[in-house]
Amino acid sequence: LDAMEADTALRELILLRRRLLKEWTSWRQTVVEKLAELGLDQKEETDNEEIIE
Amino acid sequence: MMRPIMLKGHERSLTQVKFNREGDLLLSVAKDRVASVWYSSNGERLGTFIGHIGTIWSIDIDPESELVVTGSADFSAKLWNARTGECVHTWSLPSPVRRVEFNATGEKFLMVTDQVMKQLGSIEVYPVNRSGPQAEEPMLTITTREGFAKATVAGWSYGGLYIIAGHADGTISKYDAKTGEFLASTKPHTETVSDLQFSPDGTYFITSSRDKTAHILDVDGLQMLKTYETDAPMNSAAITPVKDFVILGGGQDAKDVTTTSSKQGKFEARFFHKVFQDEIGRVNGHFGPLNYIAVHPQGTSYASGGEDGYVRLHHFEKSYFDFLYDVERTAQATASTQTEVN
Repeated sequence: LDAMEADTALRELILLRRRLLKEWTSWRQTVVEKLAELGLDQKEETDNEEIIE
Repeated sequence: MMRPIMLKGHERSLTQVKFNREGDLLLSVAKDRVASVWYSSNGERLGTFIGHIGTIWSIDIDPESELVVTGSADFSAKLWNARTGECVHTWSLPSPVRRVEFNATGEKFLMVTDQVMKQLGSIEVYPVNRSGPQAEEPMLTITTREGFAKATVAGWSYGGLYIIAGHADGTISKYDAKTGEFLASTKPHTETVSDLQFSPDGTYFITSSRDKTAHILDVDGLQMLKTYETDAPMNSAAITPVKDFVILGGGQDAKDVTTTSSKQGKFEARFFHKVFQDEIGRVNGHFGPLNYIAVHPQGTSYASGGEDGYVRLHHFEKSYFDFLYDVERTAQATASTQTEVN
């Protein structure tokens, strides 16, 4: 019985981690797209001149 | 897990350590009034910046590694030539300077001034002139708002669009970096915010607090995305590039340490998984609280500055880069399969 409970706990932990990773990855995806739209991708960062008033 | 290099040279507690953009240099400041610059590869000290007459709270170096800025308890901030160690300019201020940070282009820097006597404390932005005298007056002043506790830390978000500040009561606030307009605030901590460091792309940041926690918040929504819980007040937190980890440092102040807890040794750098929020490892070595943690911009090493007067520089080994949770391994395998199919 203990083994079954441990099994269930482990499965829940794996499901939780899978969900956290998926949430994080999809959020990061939207952020990267937004930065690209703003022209702020990291690779281009050094080329960007900031306007100073 | 890793081999540390001890950087010996400071005579009192470290207050901040920081890598330059390439990561070949490590800068450190301490209560001994001296700023130092070291080779990060071997820990050799290249030089010092001498001139402050009080604790130096904060240091930063511009993206070209040409100019260094320091903020001190001596009511001044100084700009230095990084190569010669010469002081280029001194700004005299009405209160101690707790934090300094260049923006991503090195065209300006911000400073957090402390609250003393009649001074409320503020965030000031100064332009940096590379071909002439420096401006005496700031281009922007964000004075502590009514009802707000003083700011303790601040930094620039992605694109230099926003300034994010951490406050003495645990509040985080956000301002338009051009106009200084207050945009939003939230209160993720119950005690003072001790550090605030951004992700490499500047879209999210980690805050540490004396309330024994660290949080990741996003710049756009100031939403609390992640929480890391510890058993001691935290002085610093950093996000590692390459691996999805965060590193926290802190510890009980000497005056609060009972013999039992000092034996347990809470003076460790704590590694957490950034996404899963589990603690995955600790690195000991300091004899007192860790006051600051900085991570190499390429994620190959990290440095900790201690209350004990030492900087410990750790180069990560292969096992560190190989470490993955099973779900991460599976996700990577799935992603690469899909790429192959496409």
